[in-house]
Amino acid sequence: VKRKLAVISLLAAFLLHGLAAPALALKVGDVAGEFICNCGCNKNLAHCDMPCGEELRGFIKDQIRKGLGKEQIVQYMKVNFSQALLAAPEKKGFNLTAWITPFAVVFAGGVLMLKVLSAWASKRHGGEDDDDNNDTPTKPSVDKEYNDRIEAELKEFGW
Amino acid sequence: MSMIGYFALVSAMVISAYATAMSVYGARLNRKALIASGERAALAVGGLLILSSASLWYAFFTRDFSLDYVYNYSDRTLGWLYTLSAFWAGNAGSLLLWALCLGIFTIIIILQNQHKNRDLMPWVTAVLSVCILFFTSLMVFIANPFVRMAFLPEDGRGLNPMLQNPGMYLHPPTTYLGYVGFGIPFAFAIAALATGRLSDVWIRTTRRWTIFAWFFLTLGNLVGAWWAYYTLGWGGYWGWDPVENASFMPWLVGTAYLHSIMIQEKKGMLKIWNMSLIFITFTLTILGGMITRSGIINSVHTFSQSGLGPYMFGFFLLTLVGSFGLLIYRLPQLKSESELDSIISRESAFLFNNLILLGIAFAVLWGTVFPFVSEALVGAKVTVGAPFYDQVSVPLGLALLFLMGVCPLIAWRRASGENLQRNFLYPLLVSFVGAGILVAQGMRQIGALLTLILIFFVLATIVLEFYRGTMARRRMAGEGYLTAFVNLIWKNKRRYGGYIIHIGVIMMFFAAVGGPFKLEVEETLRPGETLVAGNYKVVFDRMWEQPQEKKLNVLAAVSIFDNKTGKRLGSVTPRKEYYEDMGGGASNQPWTRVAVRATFKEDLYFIFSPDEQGREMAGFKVLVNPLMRWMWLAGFVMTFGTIIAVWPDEGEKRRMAMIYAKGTAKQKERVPSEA
Repeated sequence: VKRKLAVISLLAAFLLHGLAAPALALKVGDVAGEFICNCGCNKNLAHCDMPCGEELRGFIKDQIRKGLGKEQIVQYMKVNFSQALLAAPEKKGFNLTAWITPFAVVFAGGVLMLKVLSAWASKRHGGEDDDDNNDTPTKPSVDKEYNDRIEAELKEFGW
Repeated sequence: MSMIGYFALVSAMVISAYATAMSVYGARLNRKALIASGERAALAVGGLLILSSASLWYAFFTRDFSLDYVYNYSDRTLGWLYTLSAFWAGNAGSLLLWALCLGIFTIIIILQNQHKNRDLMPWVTAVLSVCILFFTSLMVFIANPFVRMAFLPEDGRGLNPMLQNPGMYLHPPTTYLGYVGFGIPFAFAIAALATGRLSDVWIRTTRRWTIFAWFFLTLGNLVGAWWAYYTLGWGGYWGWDPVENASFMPWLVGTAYLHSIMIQEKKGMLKIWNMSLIFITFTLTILGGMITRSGIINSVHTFSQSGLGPYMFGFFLLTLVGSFGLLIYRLPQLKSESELDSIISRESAFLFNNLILLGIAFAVLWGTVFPFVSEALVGAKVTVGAPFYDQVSVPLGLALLFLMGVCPLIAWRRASGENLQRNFLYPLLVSFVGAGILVAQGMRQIGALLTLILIFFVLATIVLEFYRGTMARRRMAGEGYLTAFVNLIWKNKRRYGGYIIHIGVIMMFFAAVGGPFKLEVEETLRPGETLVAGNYKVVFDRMWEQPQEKKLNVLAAVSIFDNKTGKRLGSVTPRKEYYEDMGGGASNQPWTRVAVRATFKEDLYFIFSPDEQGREMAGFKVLVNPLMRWMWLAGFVMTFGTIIAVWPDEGEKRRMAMIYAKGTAKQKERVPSEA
């Protein structure tokens, strides 16, 4: 088992080393996907097949050819067109709540679930202790041999 | 004939009110005659809704343009399949489809439960009848599909070209079957609370209905994605449109419910949780209906503003408050029959799976309502589109994928260190070896790589499950490999059907991995000119017009070659359609009919835009979409898995017969004391 774990660790190290590689070249769709079309069609700019969409994508294409990066083009479009064209809220100010809330809810739910499950499991074990201390158990006693057999069968089937 | 349809609709509305009242009074007073009358009324309502629907179809097929609805959604040139599906092309017809599904399901449920669940049935009938009453009332008072025109037109306006696609006769019915299907476990849950019969009988009785509903909602979403891919002409399949979100949310919560009921069946735990999940699932289906019909959110799917929004919202609130109110009332009786043995157990893993599914559903809901929240609180208009959903849902989706692999590996009750080591080692090894190979091959996209690692992991867990099960059968029964494998599935249909469905889900994730590697080339070409997209060379051969009745098609012949070898790979014919007059409120824009050359490796996707004058050149948008075919193939795998999971099982039948017999005996014991 240790050898297998060592193999896994080596592979993980190899993966992490391999990931430190150059980013892919910027595509029109990468930038256009950050905006909605400005003609009121409400489509994502990357998907709008109307002349307005083609025109804006052409503009983005020109900026990429000029050598601008994604962030620069997005900033330029925000200033020269409108912030309302952004396909997603910006990660600042009140809009930050849009991004944080889902993760906060899942995190809070996870913490709550862990607490409830822990309490539930410890209650169960506490109950078992009580039973062990009790001279007259209310539950019918189970034959040890029978219990061992069940455990062995559960183990056999990987439960 | 249309008058018959209208009267059938009005009668269905009135009689469903009667069915509700009789069922509730019958149950409260324990009067069998009233209960039977309520059931007969509900059966009659189902029959009337079938009659009403048949008369609308008749009006479509006989081109009865005196009906406003038929005039708006069909014309004389419409083929019979699209005439059939024009039924649900508009708001009123789609409501009738919803009511029709409800009516038919009510008939089936009543007939299925003539000799069982007799204590639950009056309440089930009442709940389903209330739903029918709501939908028929909407049609009678607000969105009547049988409204007559003031004059008799020669021809109809025709069906919106976007709806003239095979998706039209698959996507809405499958989605509605899913929506309405979840009404059955919802009705049984309400019945269980109303009667205080809070054992898992209601869950076991509706297990197949739940899988049925879940499967059709899955299929509805998948066919919708396929339709978007081939018809909307933007090269993608899921745009996080509000209406897509509306059907995705109940799917997510329904999936959580489908998993957590297993814990109640096995251990008698999570009673409140399961009730809550089915209530949320059902109310989300109503919310979906509201989003589509209220006109408050712009979407390619929405019907024009109909005034139905407030009523749908009212019904949504009624179901939400009513169901949770009843749940709170019964809380003291909803105690678990057993406790959790350990936090490291399959039960816990299932609950975390539930948490993630609900978390994604919440994120989708939050994204859908955030523009209203923002405008109301800070007065700023914002758009919440694909970038938000992608960034929020991808990490949660990966967590879900991870748990999909973990759940089968952790033991029920309590997982020992030995159990974890034994079950996790090989899947981890497989996933890291697979990832190592991918990195060595040059894969550098972190999101895709992480997804693939998890895909390898989950796939390995499933293969391991099949392998261990097959080997155990071989040892115990002395069967050959194939026989042992087939028997393993056949004797544990639910479990292994579920694993096959998981394989389908993995295939969907696999298809999604292709997203970041999408390649897009946009160029204007004259006939004879070429463009290069990835490994393909595309030659624009020629362009021609093809006049048809009420529309003009402009087609392009395009040849595809391997860019390295020069070998001809095939040809495609994308086109643009120009309609004279488009019905259904569509604007007068040309319609794109994309052409796709699909392989398991990638799709070569063509969007063609001819110049409006002269037809001398054309714009081509060519996309290379990797792994797309796996997405559609996943639908077939999931269908296969679902068929296995719901296939009748003798052992389950016997168990259910014993449960029903116990229930009947208890009831008989109770009757003299109550009397």
